[in-house]
Amino acid sequence: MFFKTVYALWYRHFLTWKTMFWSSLTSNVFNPLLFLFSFGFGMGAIVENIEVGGQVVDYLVYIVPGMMAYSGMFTASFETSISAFARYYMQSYWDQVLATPAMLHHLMMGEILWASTKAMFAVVCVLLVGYLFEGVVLDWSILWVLPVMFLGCFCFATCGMVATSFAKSFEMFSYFFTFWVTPMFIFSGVFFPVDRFPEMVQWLAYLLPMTHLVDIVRDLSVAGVMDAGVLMMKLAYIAFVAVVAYAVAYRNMKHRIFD
Amino acid sequence: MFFSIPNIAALMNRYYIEYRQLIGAFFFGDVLERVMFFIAFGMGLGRAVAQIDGVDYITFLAPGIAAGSGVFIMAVATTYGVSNRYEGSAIWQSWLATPVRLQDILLSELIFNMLRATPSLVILYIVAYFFDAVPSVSGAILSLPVLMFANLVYGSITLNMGVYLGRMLYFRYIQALWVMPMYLFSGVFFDIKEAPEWMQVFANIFPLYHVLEVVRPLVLGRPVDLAQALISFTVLSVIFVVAFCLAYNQFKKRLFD
Amino acid sequence: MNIIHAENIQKSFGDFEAVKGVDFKVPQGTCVGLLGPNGAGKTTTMRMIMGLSSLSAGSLKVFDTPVDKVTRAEKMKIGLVPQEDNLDPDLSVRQNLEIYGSYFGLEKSFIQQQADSLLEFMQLGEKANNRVNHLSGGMKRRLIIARALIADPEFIILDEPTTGLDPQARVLIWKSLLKLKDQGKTLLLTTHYMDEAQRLCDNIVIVDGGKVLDEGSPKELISRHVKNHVFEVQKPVPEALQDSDIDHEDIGDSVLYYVNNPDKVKHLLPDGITYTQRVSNLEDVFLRLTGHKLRE
Repeated sequence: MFFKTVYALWYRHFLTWKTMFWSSLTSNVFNPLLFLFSFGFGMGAIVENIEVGGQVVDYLVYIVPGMMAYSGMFTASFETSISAFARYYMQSYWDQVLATPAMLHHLMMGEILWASTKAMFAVVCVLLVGYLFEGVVLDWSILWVLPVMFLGCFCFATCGMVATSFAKSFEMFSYFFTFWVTPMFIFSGVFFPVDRFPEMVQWLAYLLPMTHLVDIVRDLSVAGVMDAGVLMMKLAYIAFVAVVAYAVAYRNMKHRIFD
Repeated sequence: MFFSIPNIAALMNRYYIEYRQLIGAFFFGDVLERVMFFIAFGMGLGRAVAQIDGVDYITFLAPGIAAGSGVFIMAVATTYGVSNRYEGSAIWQSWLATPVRLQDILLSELIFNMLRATPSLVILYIVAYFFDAVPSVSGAILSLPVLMFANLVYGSITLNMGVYLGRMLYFRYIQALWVMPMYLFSGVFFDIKEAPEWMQVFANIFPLYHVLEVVRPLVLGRPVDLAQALISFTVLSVIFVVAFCLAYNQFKKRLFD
Repeated sequence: MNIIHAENIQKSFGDFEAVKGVDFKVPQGTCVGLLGPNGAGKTTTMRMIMGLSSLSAGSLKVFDTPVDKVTRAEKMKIGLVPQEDNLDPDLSVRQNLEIYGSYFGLEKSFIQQQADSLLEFMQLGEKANNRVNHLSGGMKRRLIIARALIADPEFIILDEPTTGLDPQARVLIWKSLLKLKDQGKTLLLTTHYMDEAQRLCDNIVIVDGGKVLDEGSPKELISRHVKNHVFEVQKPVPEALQDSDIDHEDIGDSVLYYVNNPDKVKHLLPDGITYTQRVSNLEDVFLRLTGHKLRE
């Protein structure tokens, strides 16, 4: 019954998204295109010495995995923060659901899994765009990358839920984006290696799940290999953040709705 | 079209009260994001890019981030912000029931948001100064009025896009097709002259590119091509006036017809 | 059997006590009206019944089960018509019913069958594929009622179902609610319209300031508090009337007199006095119990 209800809630979002499929596809393809052109070609002309796993690579090759992770992170974070808050606060969507036998766990899981699904769509779009411009190779290693990305998107979606559980108005998400989403965009190795920063900043960067995700995705998709122990540690950290975030968001939401 | 100073002053006061209530969210969104971008890219790419245009990368980046910051603030304010006020809360309609007129409201929206974007410019320059990335302090100060004017121009353009597209659902196209391309292809992060040729041609359609052509030499303490600057200023002024009138007409249709 | 049994239920938000100990019952197959001015605690009470708000104290049983232990199967038997229009704006009329039904975990074929019959029942068949923002206020309310009925519930909670509607739309909704009652459904209703309560409810509970003031059938309440007739006499009131022991209430510019036999007042009123006389109704009871002063 749990899965059936969660699926029903997931399907509601899928249904409304389906009507906007083309515009969603266009923006999901167009946005990474802009970045790949600007950074890959413009910046690429002046950047030297970028290495992955000990080998020097083209800057375009360097940023495609970063852009994949970024697109997934941004989409997932946005969906469970601003979009979910709009449904919760403005459209009383949550109230109508909770008036049925569906419970808060179903509702939150529905939101989070939907956000992860939507984020994976964005990830695949970047992957295909990157492939077209020879920024990434499509081979079996992708089968490893995609599930890892899904775990990452799931983690970012639960973190977005934490923001929603605290937010009192839309303006509040400004903090969420400034202190969470933007740092993960610029300090987690999307555009340049984290080791360029002073040690203190590196420490902070490795607290962000995004930094680990970018590491894994880049190593797997560019170098094709990664030390199994390190990989497991990084995956465990991302999963750990997701579990903690879910617990916090659930506690908060429960308190907020029922008390 | 005449403007009424008392009306505009009254509206500015009202925006200011709103600003004061949300100052935390505004401040972090506007200022901190830009400062973080500056520091992260300056450090992160600084070692990959040895020298650019004859200076350190972080020095090259400072005027770019400064000039680009207003683009986002103005775009969001003149599309989502404005739409909220005349469609969401319909607050404009309540103002229009007083002696305040449409042109006063439009100009106030632009000026207020331009002023709101100004502290982030100043703070960005101060941060850059501590990173030893402002070769000419007087040039940086001189660049402030240029950037303030430029922000008004960006705002007048996106104001049009917002009112012609009409629905909030479409505003993301403004971000995707105008704001992001302008930010990414005007030479904020890299020297357009070293980019592929198609990009050099493409950059010409963006006001930000022309603004940077003036502001970057100013901040780097280099001679500015005055004739070129004058032409850019004239073109931007014309764009502002035309865009303002077009927006006025379209708003008039939407609100009064 | 009682569908709802509330004993001394309380709810506070911080220092504010929204509900200060309310007792009432909703017997199976009846329609109970919960009446009270804005801020009386009605909506909070409804939310507690739905399990959308936890109790601060007291005991609340729904289908004989304490509200915090209500099972999924029991929750399936409750339909809620909320006060605000919270239809799903991204979906069509029909999708609003079907998707809502899917949250109950119902079979697809059953949902479709229900959607068909409910669209017909609420006269929305022609609008089935329209977006909900294109509906009029009356249609939206009808759709919300239809939505509450999707799982064929035994018990339906209606929070101000006809507020803001034109008279035609209200009559239509009343008719459908009476049909539901004939089918043996149990209804709990809040409303600000006394004619609505008088028409639909078997029993009425009047609450104010988070407490129950009185309860009974509309007839009982009227005869208990405002007799059969009410006279509104402008001040200054004649002395003979002032000295009488007739049940009365001073409401500022005028005084209300409640009597069973109208002649009793009439012969005390000299010519030239301004007054009105009418058969008393539930509105008089409501105002008498909750006071004539403006709330909020």
